[in-house]
Amino acid sequence: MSSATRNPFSMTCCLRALLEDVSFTGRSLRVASTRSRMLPSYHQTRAFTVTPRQLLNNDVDADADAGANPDTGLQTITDKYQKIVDRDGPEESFKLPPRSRVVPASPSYFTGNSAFFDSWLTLKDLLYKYQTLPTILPSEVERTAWKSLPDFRSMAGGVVQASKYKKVRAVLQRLNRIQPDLMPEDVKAVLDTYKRPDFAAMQRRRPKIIDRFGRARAAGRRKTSNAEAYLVEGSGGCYVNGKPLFEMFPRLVDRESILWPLKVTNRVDRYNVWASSRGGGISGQAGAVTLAVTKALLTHEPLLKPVLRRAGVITRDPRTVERKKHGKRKARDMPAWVAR
Amino acid sequence: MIPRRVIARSLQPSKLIPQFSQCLRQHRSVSTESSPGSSNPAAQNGPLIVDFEEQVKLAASEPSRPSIIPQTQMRTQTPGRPLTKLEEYQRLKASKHASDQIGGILEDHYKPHELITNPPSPRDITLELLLASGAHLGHATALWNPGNQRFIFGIRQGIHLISLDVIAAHLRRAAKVVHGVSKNGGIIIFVGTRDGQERAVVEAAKRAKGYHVTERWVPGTITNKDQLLGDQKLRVLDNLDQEIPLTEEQKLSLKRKLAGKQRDPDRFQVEDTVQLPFGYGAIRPDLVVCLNPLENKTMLQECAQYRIPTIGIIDTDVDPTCVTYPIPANDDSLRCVQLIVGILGRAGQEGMLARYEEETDRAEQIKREQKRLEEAERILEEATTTAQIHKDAEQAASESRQRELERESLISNK
Repeated sequence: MSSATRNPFSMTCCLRALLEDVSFTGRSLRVASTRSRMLPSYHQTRAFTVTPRQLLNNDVDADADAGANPDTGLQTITDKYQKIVDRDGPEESFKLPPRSRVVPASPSYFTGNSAFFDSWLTLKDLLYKYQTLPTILPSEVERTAWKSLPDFRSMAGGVVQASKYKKVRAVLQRLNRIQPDLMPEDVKAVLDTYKRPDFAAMQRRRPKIIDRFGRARAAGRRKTSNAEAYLVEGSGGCYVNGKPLFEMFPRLVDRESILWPLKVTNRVDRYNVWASSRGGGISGQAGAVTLAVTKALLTHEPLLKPVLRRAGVITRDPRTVERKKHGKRKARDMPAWVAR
Repeated sequence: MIPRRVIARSLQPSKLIPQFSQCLRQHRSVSTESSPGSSNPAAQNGPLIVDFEEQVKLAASEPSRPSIIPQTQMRTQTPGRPLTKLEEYQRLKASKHASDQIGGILEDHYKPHELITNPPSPRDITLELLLASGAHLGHATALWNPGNQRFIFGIRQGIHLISLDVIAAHLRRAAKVVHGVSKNGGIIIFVGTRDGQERAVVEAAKRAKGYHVTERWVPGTITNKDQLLGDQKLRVLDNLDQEIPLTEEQKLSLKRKLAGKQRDPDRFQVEDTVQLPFGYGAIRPDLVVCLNPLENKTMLQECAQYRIPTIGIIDTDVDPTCVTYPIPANDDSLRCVQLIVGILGRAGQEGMLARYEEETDRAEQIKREQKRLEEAERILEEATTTAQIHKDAEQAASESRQRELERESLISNK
C-alpha cells in the first residue's frame, strides 16, 4: 500500500482497504492514487484500447515480454504500466458491486458548474413555489447584507462567476420581499444561510457621547478638507486651528457658513467651538468645519435634527473636482476646433 | 384551438348553501334538475342582492383547501383590533375560494403552467394536442432544409407546415427511446439553452432523474470530460437508485486500515455508503435530448464522435441528419417545446418506474427461489433422516434375526 502511505486520508485508500476484504464482482477499474487538475500520465494511457484491467490480467505475460526483449527502445503501454508498477507497487483492482451504476451526484453535473446551478435552482424552486405570496416594497424591507462572493464560493464549494452570483442575489432579494408575517419557514431557513453572519455587528455604530469635560467631538469633510470640532457649552467663542475665526477665515461667507448651524438654532452664544481643519482650500475647510460643528451640536441636542436638516447643513456635500479626461483640456473643456 | 365549453357550476354538486345557490339560479337560464323547488314562488321572491360579506364569512368558516400558507386558527375578531397581515391574506384567500364557486367555469382550456408541473404522458399524444401547441408551424419556405421534405405537409402563408401524424410518430418513437434508456439505468441529458426553456428542461430532468444543461454547452464536456467535469462528485447507486450501504464490519475494517498500526481506529470518520475513489474519471451520457440543435452544433458533433445517441427537435430549417432520432416540430414556440420536453421527461419517469418494478420483481423471485431451495433442502434432509431411521431399524431387525438364528443354531447344536 505505497499510495496509502502517501496519503492515508484519501478516499482511494479507504476503498482499497475495504475492497481488499470485501470481494465484489463486476466492473473493475484501476484506482488512481490522487487526483490533480492535470491527469497523471497513467490516465492518459487509459485512452488506449487496452484497459488497465486487461493489463492486470496479463501481468505475467507482460513481465515475460519485458524479460524477453529488454533492449527494445519502444515505449509501449505495457512498459508504461510496468514503470508505474515498479514505482507504486502492485495495484489492487477496484471492483463495483454487481448491478450497480456510477452516476453523477448532481443533476447539473454536465453544466460543469454544479456548485452554482444546484443552489440557483433551489432558490428558483422556492421562488416558483411562493410566487403568489404578497410582497412588501423594496424600501420597506429590513436591511440585509448577503454573503460576499468568496463566502458564497466556499459555501457552494466551487468556482462561481460574479455575474452568476449577481443573479442569485436578485432572487434572494425577491424572496426577502415576501410579507414578513407570511414568510414560510423553509424560505426563512434558506435566506438565513445566505445572510452575512456578522452584519448586525457591522451595523452597530459607536455611540455619540459627551466626554467628562462636557465636550462633544465630531468630524466633517468637504471637497478635500477634513475637520474636527469640539463643542462645549460656553459663551460663543470660536477658534479654528488655534486662531480666532475672523483671522482664519477673512471672507464673511466662510465665517457665516461655520456659524450657520448655531445661528439657525439660535445657539451662537451658548456654545464654544474649538476646531481644527486640514487639507484643501479655505472654502473647503469652512464647509468641513460646518459639518463637524453640526454633528457635534446634534450630540448635545439630538432634537435639533429636523431644523438643521431644513437648514441644509446635515448632508455632506458630495461635489468634488471632476477628473480631467483625455482629449479634453480640463474635465469638459474641449480644445479649440479648427476647420480644415 | 381546443374547444372550450362553459359549464354552469350548478350542474355539479355545489358546496354552497342551498339558499344561496337558489338565489343564484334565478340569474341563470340553467335547468335545475337537482332541486325542483326552484320554480316555486317563494324562491322567486328571494333576495336579489346577495350579501357577499356573509358568503365570504361562510366560506371562511369552511375548512379551506390545502394551502401553502400555514393555517393558524381563525381567532374571533375582537372589535377595534386591526387585522394582522396573515389574517388579511387568509381572508383574501377565503373570499377568492368563495367567489370561485360563483359563475361558470371553463373546461379543457390551456393552462400554461400545467405543461411544466403536470406534462402529458407519451400515451396522451394526439394530433389535436400537437396542433393546439403549434407544433406544425415551420419556417419561411426560403429557409427550409430540403432534408425535411418527407416531414412537410404543405405551404401556407409562406411558411412550411409539418405533418401532424409524422410529428406524433416521431415523438412516440423518441419517447420510447427515452423510456428504454431510462429503464436500463442510462444517463440522459436534457439540453435546452434558449431563453425561457430553463424551467421545463429542469423539471423534465428532475422527473426522469436525468441531467440538465440550460446555459451554454461548454465545448469539450464529452470529448474532454476529465478536465471539465473531473472534480465533481459521483455516486454509486443500485438499480433502485439507492446508495449502496456498508455493513458495520466493513466500516470497522475500513477504519482499521485507515488507522494503520499505532492509532485509534475510532478517531476516523467513514462514510456510510460505498464511495468512489477520487480519480475514477468523469462520466459520459448515454442519451442526449436537444431542444435547439441549431445552437448546439458542437454538442451534437461531440455526441456523434462518441456514438452517443441524440434526440432533437428538428424545425424545417434544421438539418435532420444532425441527430439520431429527429422530432420534426416547431422549436421556436415555447409551448411546443415545453410539450415535447414534458412528454420525454414523463417517458423517462415511466422507464425509471419500470426499472424499479423489474428490480423488485427480481428481488421477489430471488427470494422465492431461495425459499424453494430451502424447502428442497429440508425435504432432502427429512428424507435422509427417515432413510437413516429405516436403515437403523432394518439393521436392528437383521441383528435381532441374526441373534435369533445364532440362538436357534445353539439350541440345535445342543
